[in-house]
Amino acid sequence: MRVGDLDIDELARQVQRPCGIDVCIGPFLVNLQLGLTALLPVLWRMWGDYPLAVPGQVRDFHVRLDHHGWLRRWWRPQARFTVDGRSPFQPLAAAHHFPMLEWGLNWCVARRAHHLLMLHAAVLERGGRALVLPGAPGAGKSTLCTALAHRGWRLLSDEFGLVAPQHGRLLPLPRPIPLKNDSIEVIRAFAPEAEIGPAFTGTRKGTVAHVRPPRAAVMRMDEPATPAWVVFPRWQAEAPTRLEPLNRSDAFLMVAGNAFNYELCGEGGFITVARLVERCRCYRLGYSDLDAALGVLGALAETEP
Amino acid sequence: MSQRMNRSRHAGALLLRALRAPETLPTLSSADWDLLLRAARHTRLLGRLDADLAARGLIEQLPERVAHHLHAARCQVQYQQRRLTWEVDRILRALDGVPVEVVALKGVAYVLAETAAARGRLFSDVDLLIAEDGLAEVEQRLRARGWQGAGLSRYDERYYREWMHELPPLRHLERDTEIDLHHRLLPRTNRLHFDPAPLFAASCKVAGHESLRVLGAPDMVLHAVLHLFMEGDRHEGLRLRDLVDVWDLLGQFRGRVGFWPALLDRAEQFGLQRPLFHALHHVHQLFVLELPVVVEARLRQWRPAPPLAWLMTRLVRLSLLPDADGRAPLRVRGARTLIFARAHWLRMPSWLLLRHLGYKGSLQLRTLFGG
Amino acid sequence: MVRPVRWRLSSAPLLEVVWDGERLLYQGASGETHYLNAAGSQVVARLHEGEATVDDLLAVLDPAPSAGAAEVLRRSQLEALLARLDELGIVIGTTTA
Repeated sequence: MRVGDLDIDELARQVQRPCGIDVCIGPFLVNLQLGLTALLPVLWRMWGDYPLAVPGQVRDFHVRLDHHGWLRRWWRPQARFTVDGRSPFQPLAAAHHFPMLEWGLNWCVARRAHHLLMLHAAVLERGGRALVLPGAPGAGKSTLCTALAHRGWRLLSDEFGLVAPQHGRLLPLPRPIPLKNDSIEVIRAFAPEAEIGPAFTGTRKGTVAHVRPPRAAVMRMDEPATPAWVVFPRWQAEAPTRLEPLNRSDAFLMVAGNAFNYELCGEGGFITVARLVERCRCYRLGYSDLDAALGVLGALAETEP
Repeated sequence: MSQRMNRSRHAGALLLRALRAPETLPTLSSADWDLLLRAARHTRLLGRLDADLAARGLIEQLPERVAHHLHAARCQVQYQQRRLTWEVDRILRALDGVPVEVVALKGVAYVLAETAAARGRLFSDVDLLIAEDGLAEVEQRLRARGWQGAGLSRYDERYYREWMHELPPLRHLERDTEIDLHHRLLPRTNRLHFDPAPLFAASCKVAGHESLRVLGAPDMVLHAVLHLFMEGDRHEGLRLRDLVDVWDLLGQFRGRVGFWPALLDRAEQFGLQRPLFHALHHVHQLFVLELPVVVEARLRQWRPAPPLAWLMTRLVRLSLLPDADGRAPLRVRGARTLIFARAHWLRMPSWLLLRHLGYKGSLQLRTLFGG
Repeated sequence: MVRPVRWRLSSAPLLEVVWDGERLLYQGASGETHYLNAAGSQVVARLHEGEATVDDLLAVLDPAPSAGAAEVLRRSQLEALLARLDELGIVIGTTTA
């Protein structure tokens, strides 16, 4: 049974019960309870392929989205995100409900999942081999990731490169991809088949619209992938497409410096990053043209053994 | 009884069972684990559960998801302990040649002295005790070697220097660990404050650290007791983990010859009979720690008048209850506020209390309205 | 302050990887990761073999040293590197000959 198998009224009923619903999202089991129903249509679409778990298991996060204060329901309404009963951040405008839920989940993963090394990176897979795209904000990671996910690469994650220290493979966490501002139109033009949700304007990151994770990506979210390439993308207007090899120590410092919990993982973090860099080919990719960038990355997958 | 109260009590019972008898945890149902994980996380005791389970080789018998959370807690504990012991190492290096005794307190002391209370324990600051007449030299040396003040307002800076038992926190330029240099265990303004000189005289060396000391066993217990009752927080109430510290230390020291009489004598010497009474009472009640008969007899004399004893016991019990989903039942919240008010009342004479709260209050309002 | 005469690696646990002569080093006591370029890496490699004086280390960096100002500069740079490594808990300087 998947979230989208429920009709939307039934989803509304279940998710408003005190016990909420239990949803599998990548390696995590999330208990979701809503006191705010405005986001149901977008949630139903974006989370449609996630399996519902049988009740009675141990959940990783108990998250809620509620109205904040009874008065505010009418006057500049606000929504509050809570995890296990605590609000990690200030309430936001209620109209930003879905982005808030997604940011909230990011917070949960980043603050809790320290049994994994968490890289700040998009991850995609082709032919059993994974491409890791660590990205500073504004480097075009989400746009590139969405484009690849609609051109034959399997989406593992747009935000979190989850490395299991035991075997060094990457665990999928396919989530709706938040496109910001101009990227929304870029993707609409580039991949008309991409399913894009409503645009939320005036968030702290500008206008945000989510791309529904491709169905196949969610269906295969239990299959880890072996890292093969680390590519640091950098989008720059008018820049030519250039793929330059990167030496290992630079790659190490950039991967570790971009991770959410490298320091916290201690010795294990050092070993995991060193192994990752050692088993991958590392590059820097400068680009302005999406098609050309995809061509270069596709060629990597075709040509490199 | 409200459903929330029931759940809070159930979470509390699970947590106490987990602390007292970790070997029984592999039989826990998934639903109970779901509640226990949250209660243990909120009370910052998840790392402690992990340490106890790992020491018994039981992690593999737990549900996989539980094992992941425990593993994550272990990483966090190890990270903090590594960071703080390293900070102490660097401080001692910087203080090389300064003829002052440095006594580690609380978490850092538990870790360096390898006490049972260190296992799985989270702590965020380095607390050191230094004799007041050596403090200026220590502060000067640290400032010369890259430590700085944390950028307090003038009011806060003065407040620390005039009234507190510690200097304004220092932090090294290249690291983000806060260090608190204390010259006594309680602020001068606290009604229970006492002369710290005997603490130094009774302090002991730490194996493997030439120039570092920790408090003697009775003083270490009394400090944990003070921490339990003085550092209460309006929202958290009394912290169960602080009571766990007291329990751990007692469990470790009680076999030593002469420990109990020394502890009681010391409490009398410092005038800390009442806090010790309450702490021992609750350690006995919650963790079933047996007290020797002689100790009980002496403790009975320290018991407050019956209505007060009853009230205090109830408030402490209520405010120690964990809340699994964050919103504590009304009664628990009430008890926490009262306990907090009591700690605050003990901390300061009333005219100072007004001044301090008043100032902080207006500061908060200003932040709220952007003034 | 007395200037250290001999240098050795600290007893803190170290994890290292060396790629193309460059070295990444995890200092187990501090939990910090450090990067050393080829020259710095050679210094650490030499200290792995045992205690050394600044002259020993200079000889490793440049087996045929030139005299004069360049030599003074190299020595002071090496001493600065060693002082920094000392602060990070990677090496320890001793003042006994």
